[in-house]
Amino acid sequence: MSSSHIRITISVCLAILLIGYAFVSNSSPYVTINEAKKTKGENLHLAGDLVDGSFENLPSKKAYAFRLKDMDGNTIPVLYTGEQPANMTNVNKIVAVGKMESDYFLAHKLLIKCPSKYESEEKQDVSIAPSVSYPLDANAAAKTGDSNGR
Amino acid sequence: MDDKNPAFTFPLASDFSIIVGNLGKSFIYCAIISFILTSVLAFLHRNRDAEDRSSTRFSRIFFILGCLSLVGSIISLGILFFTDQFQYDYVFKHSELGLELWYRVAAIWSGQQGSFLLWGVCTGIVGLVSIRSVGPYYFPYIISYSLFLAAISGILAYESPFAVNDVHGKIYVPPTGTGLEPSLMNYWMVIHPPTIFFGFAMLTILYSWSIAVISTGNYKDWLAPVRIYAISTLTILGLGLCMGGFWAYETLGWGGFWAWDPVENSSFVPWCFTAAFLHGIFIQNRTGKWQIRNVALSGLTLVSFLFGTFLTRSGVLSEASMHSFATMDRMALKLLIALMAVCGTALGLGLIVAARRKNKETPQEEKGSSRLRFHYNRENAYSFGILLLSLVGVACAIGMSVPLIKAIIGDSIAIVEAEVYEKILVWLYIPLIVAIGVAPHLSWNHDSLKSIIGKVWNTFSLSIGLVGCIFIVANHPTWGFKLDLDAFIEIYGDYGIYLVPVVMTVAGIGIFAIVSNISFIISKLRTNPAGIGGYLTHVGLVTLLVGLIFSKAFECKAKAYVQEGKPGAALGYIFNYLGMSEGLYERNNMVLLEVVGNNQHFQARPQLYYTREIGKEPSPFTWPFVYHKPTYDVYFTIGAGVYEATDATTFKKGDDKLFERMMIVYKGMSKEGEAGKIGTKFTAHVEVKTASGTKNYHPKIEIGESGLVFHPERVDENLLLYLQSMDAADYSANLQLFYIKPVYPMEVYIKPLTIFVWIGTGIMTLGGLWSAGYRVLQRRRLMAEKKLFVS
Repeated sequence: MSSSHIRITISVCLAILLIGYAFVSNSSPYVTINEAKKTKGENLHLAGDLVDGSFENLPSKKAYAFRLKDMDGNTIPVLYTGEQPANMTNVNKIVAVGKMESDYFLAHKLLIKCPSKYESEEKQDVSIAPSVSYPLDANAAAKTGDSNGR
Repeated sequence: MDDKNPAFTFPLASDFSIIVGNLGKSFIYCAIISFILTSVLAFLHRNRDAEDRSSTRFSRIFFILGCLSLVGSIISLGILFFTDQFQYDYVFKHSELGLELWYRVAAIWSGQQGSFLLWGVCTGIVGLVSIRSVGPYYFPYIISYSLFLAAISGILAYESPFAVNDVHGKIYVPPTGTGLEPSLMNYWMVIHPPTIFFGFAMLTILYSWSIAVISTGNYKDWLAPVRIYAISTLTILGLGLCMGGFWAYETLGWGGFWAWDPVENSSFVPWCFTAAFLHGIFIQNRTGKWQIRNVALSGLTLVSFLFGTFLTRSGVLSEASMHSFATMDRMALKLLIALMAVCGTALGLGLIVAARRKNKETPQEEKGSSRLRFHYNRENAYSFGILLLSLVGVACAIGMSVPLIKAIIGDSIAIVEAEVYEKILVWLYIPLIVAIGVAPHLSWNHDSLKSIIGKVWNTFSLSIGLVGCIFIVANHPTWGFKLDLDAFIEIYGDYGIYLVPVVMTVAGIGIFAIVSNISFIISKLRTNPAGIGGYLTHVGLVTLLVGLIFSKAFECKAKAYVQEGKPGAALGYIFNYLGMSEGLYERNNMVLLEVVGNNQHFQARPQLYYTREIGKEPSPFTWPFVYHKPTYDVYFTIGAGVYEATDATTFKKGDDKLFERMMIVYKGMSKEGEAGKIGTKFTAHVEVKTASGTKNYHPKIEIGESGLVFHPERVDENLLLYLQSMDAADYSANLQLFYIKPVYPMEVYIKPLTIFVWIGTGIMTLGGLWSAGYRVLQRRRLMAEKKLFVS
């Protein structure tokens, strides 16, 4: 290898290291509720489970509110200012992206993980697989969705 | 035995369906055995003449058998889908009774197992085509290729789409399945996966060539055939990536074409390496240099893709991707990791051996002369471009690996936002586009800087003029797209730079590259029209990038709320709700909106419907609507109808609250019956004051047999007042107003110059096809003249 080749190789390696450093240092961390309270940043990713029945519409704030339970078992109110994502009623895993306010988490983006249509993580027990109820009472379901949420 | 299990009422599966499923499964085992036998036979015969058909016959037969088995397997799966065999777990979870024909096709590859099968089938098909042109490289090539296919088939044996649900040894057929994911019921799902998987499949060709070249030490004869595959791979993969972008933009409502999602990146990284490799071939063809580097780039295409596949399918990025994949079978995942490790290690070790061998073969005086001298010539421009393309690939690979890197160093998981990718990659984009613009003006020898400037000066001047034209169009009252001249990008603290000049400069560099390549194409049309494909591809690529930059950087966005009889407004448009096209539970239902403003009058039809899943509450599903104008798109997303007019608010006696133009005053509570007993009613007495006068309302809660029954009061033609709850201790009441006609929240975007993205994709694909077609014809002509090896 000539010296110019060595120089180019070193430069490329330095460029890759620099790029790597830029990505890692500018990445947005996934935090727990306790970590979110200690971390500054506009793009904190707070991952957790949606607390059943906690999702509500806040027309006065043009926002949605719900409670999120993180992996440590702590819960926090989340105020989400974007549009209601499709499939919200079937969601359980949510990543709220935003920042920590005094006593709640203000999210501007939600990443939704909806497992309903994808295979479950564990293999389904074949003895219960066909026991799904048929047929669906479409009219009853329709009423639930079209009513005013009550 | 659980006789109450409803499965026992279902009909038993027919023999035909069981035979088809078993056949599909057997085809996969047949493929594994065939590919292993192919590689064993090829290894045993490796010292024979590769261009003598009799010495390659048996390995070739088993290879063809293996590939046809994979095709047979996907046909079997297709039959299961088309004949509604819901006893098969994969069919049950991805299809349903009455699913439209094309969505059944899409359903075949809509899940983890089916997409692996599609990958295997595509790899088999392109493998059958490719082995016809490998000539003296036949044995190492087919060993590498068939071992790869054996591994994919092995993964399929564990990640099988033919798993059947049996109850105590009997197979019952459920009447329907759970259906295809709504977002996948789209024509893009029919055409995008096969396109991109053909692109992925062709990466195996490039990898196997690299292994074959290392094994044979013949760095020359592979260039002509591999060039055609490199061009085809680049074109098909590029088209597949663009299709994914259009799908995200038009249907999924991600709000843009590209989100730097790990799944997108895992396809984009091999595209970068393939583009780098293709330019490496040009250098080697012309100068004889870049022999080892080209082998490395050719192999890296597949290795980088396998790495991306591992990241996205293994669950490592499960929190970090908008795509959702089921967790893989553990054994299948181990096989995938082993495949990635073996491919990477084989390439790495092979390259070390090849480099040492090459070093020994090179005479001492040539080594001394290999010192780099900087010249302004096309070779250096290509080398520079290859370096930048590779760096873009490496950067994206690092970006999507950040969660893994963080996990390895013991930090909490973190992901890289799209903005970070854009801020970092723009530093590579600018010199890369400059290189694309300048390269056509360079000769393969040496040019002086002065002569280059002389050549590009006219192009540069014309580009500045075009940027000015775009600026004028952008501010035109009819065609313009509302440039925000005060928009500011913060760089550090309060310091920053205005957005418009930055974007115009970055896009202007792209326009310079487009004009430069077009002018070169025009000059070539007279002398060598067959050779314009590459330049056409450059024009398409840069046009696409310029479109992406404009549409993202100058995007305007606003929220609006629309209700029957109450128009919404945003970005100079007024939206009138006209109604639903079909009904909220019809999959093709659209919300019809009359849009007036900005000298336009049209109907917007964003889609909204409620899914009806077995055992679940209906859930809203929306698709955006895009109104295409020549200079910009008006992009609408709509949310599910909202009925709540106010928050549920607790009033104490005498409290009042203003809502829109009415004052709500809580006067007190009365009770009929005994607390806690069925039939007891609690009534809130509410006074509502409006400009037209004061009225009293009395919403109630009644204790019914199966819970609380609400009796709201109608306040006006569109509002209901509910008593939600009350506190018997202090007689406070929780009141809430609901709309009778729902309010639909909307997001409206103006996305400038997205037409460039579409045109760019078309030109890029055309350029690729032109190049590949020209090379194929040229090669056939040479073969007819027996100037090339014929296997």
